[in-house]
Amino acid sequence: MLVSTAPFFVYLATVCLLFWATQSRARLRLLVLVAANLFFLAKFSPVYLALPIAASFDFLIGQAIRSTDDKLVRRLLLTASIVLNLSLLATIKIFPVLTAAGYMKSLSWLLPLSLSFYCFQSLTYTIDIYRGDLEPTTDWLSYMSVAIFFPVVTAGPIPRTGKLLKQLAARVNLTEAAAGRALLLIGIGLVKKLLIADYLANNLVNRVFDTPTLYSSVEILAGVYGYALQLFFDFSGYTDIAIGAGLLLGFELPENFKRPYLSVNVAEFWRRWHISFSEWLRDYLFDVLPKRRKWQVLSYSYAFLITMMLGGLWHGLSWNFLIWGALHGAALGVVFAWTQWKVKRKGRNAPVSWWGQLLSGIITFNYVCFAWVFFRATSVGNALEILRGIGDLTTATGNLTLPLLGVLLLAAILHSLPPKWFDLPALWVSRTPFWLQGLALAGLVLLIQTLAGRGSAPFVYGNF
Amino acid sequence: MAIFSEQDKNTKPEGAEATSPRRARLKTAQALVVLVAALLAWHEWGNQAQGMDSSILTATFNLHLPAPPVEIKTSKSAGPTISVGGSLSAESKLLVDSAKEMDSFYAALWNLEQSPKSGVVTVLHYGDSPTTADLITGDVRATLQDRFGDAGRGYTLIAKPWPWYGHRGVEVGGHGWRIKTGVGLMREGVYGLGGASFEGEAGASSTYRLTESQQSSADFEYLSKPNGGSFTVSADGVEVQSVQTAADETKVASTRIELPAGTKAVELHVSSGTVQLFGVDFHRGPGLIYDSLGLNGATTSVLARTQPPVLWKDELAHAHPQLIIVNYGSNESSFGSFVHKLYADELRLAIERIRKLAPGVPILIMSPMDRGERRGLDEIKTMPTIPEIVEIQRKVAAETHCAFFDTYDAMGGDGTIARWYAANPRLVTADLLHPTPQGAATVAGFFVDELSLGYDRWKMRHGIGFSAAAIVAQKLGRFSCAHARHGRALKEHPQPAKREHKARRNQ
Repeated sequence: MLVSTAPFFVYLATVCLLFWATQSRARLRLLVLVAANLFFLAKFSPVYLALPIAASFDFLIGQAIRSTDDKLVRRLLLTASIVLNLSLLATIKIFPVLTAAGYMKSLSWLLPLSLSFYCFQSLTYTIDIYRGDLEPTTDWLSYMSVAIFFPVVTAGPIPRTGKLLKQLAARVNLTEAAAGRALLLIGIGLVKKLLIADYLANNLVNRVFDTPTLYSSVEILAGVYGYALQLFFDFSGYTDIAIGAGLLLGFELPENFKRPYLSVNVAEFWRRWHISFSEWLRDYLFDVLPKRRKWQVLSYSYAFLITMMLGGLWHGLSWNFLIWGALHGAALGVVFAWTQWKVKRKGRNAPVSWWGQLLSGIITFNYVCFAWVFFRATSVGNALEILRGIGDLTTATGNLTLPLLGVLLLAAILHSLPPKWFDLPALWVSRTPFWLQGLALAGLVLLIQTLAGRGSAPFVYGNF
Repeated sequence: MAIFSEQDKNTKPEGAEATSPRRARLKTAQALVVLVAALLAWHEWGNQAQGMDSSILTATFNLHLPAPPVEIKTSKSAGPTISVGGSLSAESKLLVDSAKEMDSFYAALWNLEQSPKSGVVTVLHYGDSPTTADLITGDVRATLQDRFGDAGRGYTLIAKPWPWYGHRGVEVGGHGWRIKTGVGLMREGVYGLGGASFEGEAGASSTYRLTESQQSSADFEYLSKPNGGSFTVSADGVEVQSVQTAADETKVASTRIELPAGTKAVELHVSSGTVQLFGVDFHRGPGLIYDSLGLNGATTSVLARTQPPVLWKDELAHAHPQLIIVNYGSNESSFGSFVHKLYADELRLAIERIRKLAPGVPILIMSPMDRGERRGLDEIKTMPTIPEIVEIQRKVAAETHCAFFDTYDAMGGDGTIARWYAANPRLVTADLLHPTPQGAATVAGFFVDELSLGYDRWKMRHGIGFSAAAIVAQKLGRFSCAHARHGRALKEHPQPAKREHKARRNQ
C-alpha cells in the first residue's frame, strides 16, 4: 500500500473517521491507532504482525532502564535493545543480498517492506531513556500507537518516540488551520511524487541509468541532475504526505527537507537533506564516536567518515552505498577542516562574498550529484559507465524533449521556493468550505491522472 | 521541502476563524467523503480510466500474503553459447516455418559449418528502435558468429542519425552530414541498404573506431552520380584511398577498401564537392555477417513504401543475403485504427516488394517485443494492439510463406512487460518498450535457441549429423541431438549427454 495510491487514502480517511469518532474516549482512540498500525503492516505481509513483539521488548527495556540505578544493568539493558534492533536491521538488509545470491530465493517476496525506519525510531526511545532525556511510558497501547505509527513506518521521517508520546498524551485537537495544512501538504506531496518525481524517473533518469551507452554526455548529465531532483521530489513528496497524515491524527512530525540543493557546502546540505536521518546519525552515532581535542580535525574527519559510511550501508549492503557514504564523509571532513582554518584566520563572523557563495553552491550541488551517481547506479560498473559517458563530452540533445526540459526547470524552481510562500495557500485551504476542499482534491487527483497517466512507482526511500 | 515557516506551525494563521475541534473534525471528514465520492462518481459516469474504481474500497481492506513473483522466462542459452534443449520432434510454436522457407538459409549455414573457410552467410535484420541500438541484434550476432565464424561487424550507417544509434564493435562518430531516412514518409526517397542517406560537402567527416575484432576491409556504399564529389578514407590517420563519386548515371556504387592489419580507426573525409553516402560494411573473412538495420520510429511502411526499388534491388544484390528478417510492430502499436484496418496490407506490401527485389531469399517475420502502458494508479498492462499485431504477422507470414518468430510469446505473452519492468535487474526500460542490455540478451537468447532448433530440425530431416541411436532417442523425447555436437552444452546438461554417449557406445 504505497502512500501515493488510492488504497492508502481510502485507508487514511477510514482511520481518521474512526479516530475522530473516538476522540473523547482515550483508550478506544489508542486502540484504533494500534489497530490501524497493525493492519497497515499486515497489508504488506502478515509476517510483520510479529513486529509488536520486538516493539514490546523495547517497551519493557525502557521501563527496566528507568527502574534501576545500577550502571552496569542499565548498560546491559540498553545493549540488549541495540542488539535487538540492529539484528532486525541486519536481517532486513542481509536478506535481499542472500536472495540475490541465490540463497532462500523462493522466500525473496516474503519481506517486501524495509523496517529500518522503525529500528531507528525504536532506538531513540531506549537510548533517550538511558541518557535520562526521556521518561518511559507505562502504557503499552500508547507505546504501540507511536512506535509503529503507520504514516512513518515505511520511509520516515524518523521521529523521536519520546516526542510522539508527548504529543499523544497532550491529545492535540484537530483545528481547521491544521486540517487545511494537512490537506494542502497531501496535495503537494502527490504533485511532487506523481507529476514530477515519477515523470523524471520514467522519462529520463531510469532510461539513462539503464542504458547509458545510448545517450550523449549532455543527456547523461541531464539524467544525473534529473535524478537529484527526482530523489528530492520523491522523498519530500512522501514526507509531505506522511506529515499531512500525521497532522490529521494530531501529530506534528519532523520536517525532513529545507531546499537542500541551495546549500553552500556539504555540511549545510546535511542540515537541509533528510534532516531527521542526519540528526539521528549526529545524536546517536557521531556524538558517541571518540574524538580527541588535540587532533581535532583528524579525529572529527575520521568520525565523519565512519558515520557517513555506516549511513551509506544503511541504504543497502553494496559498494555503491559505501562509496556514496565515503564521498560525503570525506567532504564533511574537508568542510570541517576548512571551517576551522577559516575561523582561526578570519574569525567566526568573517563576511563571505556573494560570488563566493554562488561558487560554493555550484560546487556543492555538483559534488552531491556526483555522489548521487553511485547512490543510483545498479553497480560500481554502472556508475563508472555513467561517469565515462559524461567524460566523452558528446553534445547530442535529441532525447531532451521540450516537456522534459520544462519539467526539469519547473522542478528546479519549485525546489527553490521559500517555505513562506506556502503559508497563504494553507490559510486559503483552511477557510475553504468542505465541499470545495473535497472537490479541489478530487480535481487535483484527476489532473494528475490526466497529466501523468503512468501510475505510481514505488518510493525510492521505501527500499531503505 | 519545509513548506511552512516554523512560526506558523504552532500558532493560528492570521485571519483564521476560531472553530471548535468538533467542527474542524466534522468539516475535514465531510471533505474526505466528498473527495472519495467525487472520484468514484467520475470513474462511474465520467471516464473509466480515471477517478477511483469502487473495487478499491474493498481491496483496501483485504489482507493477503504477498504473491511470489511470476517466474520470468529466460533463454536456454542465456549467454554467448548455444545449447539446444527443446524437442526436435515437434514443430516449434515460436519459430513457425511450415513452408520450409528457412531451408536455404539452414543449408547455407550447413555449408559454412562444413567448410568454415569457404564463404559468407549474411543476414539482414530490418527493424525499428529496439534494433537501432544493436542490443538484441548485437547479442544474436555474437552468438551466431561464435558458432559459425566471425565474418565481420557488417553494415554500419555513415554517422549516428540519433544519439542512441549503435553498432557493437564499431564506435561511430561524424559531423557535417545532412541525414535523411524514410521514417514517417509515405513516398520513395534515395536511401541505402540501411534506410538512411548522408549527404555532405567538403569538411563533412566520420570516424569508425573498431573496438573489438580486427576488420580486413570496408565497403563504402554511396550514390554515384553526375557532378558527384569525392571522399578519402584513412586508416589510423594514414590515407589509404580517395574515392570519386562522379559518374555518368545515378546508381548505387560500392568501393571496397582493404584495411592495413591492426587498423583501429577508419576515417572518412569529404574532400571535394557533394557526396551522398549510405553506409560502410566491415568484413574480416569467411563466416557469418549479421547486419542490424534498425531505424528509430520506423514502421513496416519503411520497407513497403520508402525504399527506392531500383537502388534497393542493387543494394540487396550487393549484400547477397541468405536471410532477411522483418522486425516491426512496436511503433504501429500506438495506432489502433491503423492496426485494425491497414496493417496487414502494409505488411503484405513489404513482403511482396522484398520478394520481387530479392527473389529466392527467405524472409522471416519477427514479431515485436511485448510493449506496455500504465493504467489506473499502479498497473502496467500489455498494449492491446501488441497481440493483435502478432496475430496479423503470424497470419500474413502463413499467407506469404514466410517464416515467423513470435518474440512476444517467447517472452511470456500477456503481462510480460510488467514482470520484466519489475525484474531485478530490470529487463525493459521505463518507457515499457525498449529492452535493457539484460532484456536484449534474453530476447536474443530466445531467438538463437529457436534458430538453432530449426537448424537442427533441418539437419534431422536431411539425416545430417545425427546417429541413428540419437534420432531414436530424440523421437522418444529424451534429449536434444544438438548436445551430441556441442561440447559446451554437454557441461550444461550432463545427464542427457551421458545417455547419448551410452547410446553411441551401444551402437
